[in-house]
Amino acid sequence: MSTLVMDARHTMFFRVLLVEDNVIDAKLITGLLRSPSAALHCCHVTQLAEALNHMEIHPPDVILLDLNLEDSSGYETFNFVRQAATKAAILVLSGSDDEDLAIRTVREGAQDYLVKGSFDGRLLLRSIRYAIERKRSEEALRHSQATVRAIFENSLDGIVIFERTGICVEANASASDLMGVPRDELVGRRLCDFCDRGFEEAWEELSQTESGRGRCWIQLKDNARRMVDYCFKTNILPGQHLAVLRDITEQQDLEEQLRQSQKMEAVGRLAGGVAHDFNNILGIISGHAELLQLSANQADSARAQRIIAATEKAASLTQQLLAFGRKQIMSLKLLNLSTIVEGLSSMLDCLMTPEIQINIQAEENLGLVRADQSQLEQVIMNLATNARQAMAEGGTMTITIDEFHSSKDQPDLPPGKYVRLAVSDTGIGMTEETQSRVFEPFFTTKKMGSGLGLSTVYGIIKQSGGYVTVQSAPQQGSTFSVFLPVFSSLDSSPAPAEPRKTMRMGGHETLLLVDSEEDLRNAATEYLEGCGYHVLTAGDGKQAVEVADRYDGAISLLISDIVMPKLSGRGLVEHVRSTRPNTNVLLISGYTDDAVPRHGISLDPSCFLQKPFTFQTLGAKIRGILDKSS
Amino acid sequence: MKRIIPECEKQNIFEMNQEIIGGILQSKSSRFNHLKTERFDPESLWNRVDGDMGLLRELVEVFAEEGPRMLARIDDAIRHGSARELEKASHKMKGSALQFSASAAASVAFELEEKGKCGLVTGAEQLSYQLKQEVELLQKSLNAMAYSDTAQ
Repeated sequence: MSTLVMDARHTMFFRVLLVEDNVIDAKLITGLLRSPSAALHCCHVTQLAEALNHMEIHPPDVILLDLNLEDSSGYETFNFVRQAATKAAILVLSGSDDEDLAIRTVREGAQDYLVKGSFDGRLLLRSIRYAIERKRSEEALRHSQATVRAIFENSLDGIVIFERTGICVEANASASDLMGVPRDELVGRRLCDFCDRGFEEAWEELSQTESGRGRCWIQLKDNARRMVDYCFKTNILPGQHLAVLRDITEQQDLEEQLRQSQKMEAVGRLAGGVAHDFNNILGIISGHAELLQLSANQADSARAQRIIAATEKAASLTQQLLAFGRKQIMSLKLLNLSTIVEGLSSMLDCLMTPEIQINIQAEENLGLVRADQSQLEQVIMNLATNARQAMAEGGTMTITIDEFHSSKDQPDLPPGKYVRLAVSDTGIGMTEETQSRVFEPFFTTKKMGSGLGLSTVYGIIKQSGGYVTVQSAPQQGSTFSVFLPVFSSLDSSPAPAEPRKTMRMGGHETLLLVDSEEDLRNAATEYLEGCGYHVLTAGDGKQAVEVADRYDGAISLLISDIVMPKLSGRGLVEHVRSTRPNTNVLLISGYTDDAVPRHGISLDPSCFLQKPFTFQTLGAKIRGILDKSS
Repeated sequence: MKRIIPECEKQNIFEMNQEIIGGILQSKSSRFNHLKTERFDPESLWNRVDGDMGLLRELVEVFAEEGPRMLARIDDAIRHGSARELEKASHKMKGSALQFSASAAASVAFELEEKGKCGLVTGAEQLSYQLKQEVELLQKSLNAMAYSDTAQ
C-alpha cells in the first residue's frame, strides 16, 4: 500500500483504544490501523477492567469496543465505558446478529458501530475519523447548550419563547416569577393573556417586524400590576420568537419617590423663602404694636396686644413652614423619648376630647436619641392632633415607645437600632392614596386645617436623621411611627430641660443695630432707646462698618441681620471682631439654622435670634448677652 | 522541500489515495479466484486486509493457533453441559470465521451459538464436528492464499 508523505510535525495523532478479546479480530484491526497515514496510536486490551484502568491513565480519543468480553457483555459493557470516557468517541464493534444492540448504543451516545466482517481498512479509518469529528461537534453543541441553558435559567430578566400564535413554549424561572404563575402554567398560554389590553394591540403590529422594544403592564392574579420593559426578536428558530422582560416596577416607584421628594424639596425651599420675607413683615407689625403698647391707653394697649398675639400665631405658621423645609435651627441634645412623652401627658389630656382614651406604653431602659426637645414635642403634639381629628366620634389613642431593630430586609429603614415612637388611633383610617400624600405640605382631608401638621412632623424627623412611616386602612385606624436612631445608651446623661429665666430689661450700653428693613430697624431703635440704650443704626453691612469706624466710644453689642446687600453679616462680623474685639455679636434673621454656619460665621448658637421676635424677647436677649460678657 | 499540507486538504487526498489502492487491489485479487468456493471468499478477505499480504499472513498464523483453541473451548463447553459457555465460545469462532469470509464455518458456529443461547447443549457434538471440518478446510484455503507461489 502506498503511503501519503506528510510532515509528521503537522500531523495530529489520535489515541485509539481497542477493547477486543478475540485475538484474530484484534490482530486484524491493529494491522489495519498501523499505517503511518492513519495517524493513529493504537493500544489493545482484552478486558473491560483493563480498559477502564487504561482510560484513566491514558485518556483515548476514540474507543473501538467489542461489547462481548470475558468480564462484561452486552449493553453493560458500553455503559461502563461511556461513563468512564465522557470525552472519547466510541465505535462499537458488533457481530452481525446484535446490530439492534449496536444501534441502541448509538442512540445512547456511541458515535457509530461497525459490523465485524463487513468493514475493510478504508471504512474503518473513515469511521474512526468521522466518529472523532462527530464527538467534537457533539461536545461543542453540548457545551453551547449548557451555556445557553445556564444563562436562560439564571437570568434575572424573564425570558419567554413563544410561537407565532403568541403561545408560550418555554419560559425561565424569572418569567414565571414575573407573571406570578408556576412555569408549567405559563407554558401553553398566550403572553398577551398576562399583559394589559394595549399590549395585544401593539403586538399585532410588532410581530410584523424583526425585533423591537416596548413597555407594558403585567396583570397578576391578585390584581397587582407590574410595569415591564420588553424587547423581542422574531424567528430565532423557524416559527419561534423570543421576548425578554424586565420588571421595572420598583424602578418606577423609586423614580416616583424621587420626583415626590424633589417636589417636596422645592416646596420646602419655596416655603422657606416665603417664610423669611413673612417673618420680616411680622417683625415690623409686632414691633410697632409693642411700641404702641408702651404709650397707649388701656383700650389701645389691649388692641396692640391682640396685634401681637396675631403676629405670634402667624409666626407659628411660618415656623411650621420652615420646619417642613428643614430650615429650623436645632438645639440638639441627648433625649429620653419616654421622658418627653411623660412631660407632655397633661397637655395631651387637654388636647383630646373626653370621648378619647389615651394609652401610653413606654419600654424601660430605652436608648437616648439626639434631637431638639421643642421640635420633638411639636412632633408628638402634631401626631396627637392628627389622631384626635381622625376620631371625631371618640376612640383610643395609643402612644408606644420602644426599641426597634431594623434588618437588611426592611425597606425604607436602614439597618440599625432605633427608638420607635408610634401614635395609633382607632379612627376612620386612610386610603392608600391618602397615605401616599399625607406628608405633603398643605394636603388635608379636613375642611379646617392648614395641612402643615404632618409635613412639619416629616421635616423635623428628617432633619433629626430619623424616619417616619404610616400604616392605615379605611375604618381601621392609623399608626404613625417615628424612628430615631439610638445615639447612646441610657448611661449617658440626657440633657436637663432648659429652665425659663426672667431677665431684667434696659441698660445704658451702646448698641449698633444693622438691618436692611427700615421699618423694623426704626421700631427696634425706638424701643431700645426707650429701654435706655444708645443705639447706632445702619441699613447695610457697608454702612455699619463706616458707622463703627467713625464712632469713638465702645460698642457693647452688634445686632445685625445676616443676609444684607453690599456687605453681608459675615463680612461685618469679621470687621468688627478685628477692629473691636470686645464687641459682642447678636445675629438676627428671617432665615434659620444654616444661615449662621452657611454664611461661614462662627458663633455661639445662643447669640442668634430668629425673626419674628417681640421686642421684649430682643431686650431680654440683649441683656443676657451683655450680662454674660460682663 | 516538503509541502506542508493543510488539514482541510488531507481528507480529500486520503480518499483519493484509497481509490487508487482500491484499483490496485482489484487487479491483485483476481489471482485468488481459484480458491473461491461457496464456503470461502478470498477476494473479500483480501479487500478486508487492504491487500496487505503481511497482515494476511499474520492473521493466518494467529488463526492457526487460535482456531484449535476456540474449537477446544466449544468442546469443553459441550462436555460440561454449559450452554452459556457454548454460546460465548461459538460467538468468538463465528466472528473469526466472518473476518476470514468463511461463510460456511461462520454458519455452523452461528448454529452452535444459537443452541447455547437457547440453553441447549444436546446435539451440539455433531455441529462441533462439522465445525472442525470447516475450520480445517478454511485453514487450508488460508495457507494456500497466504503461502502459495502466487502470493507475493
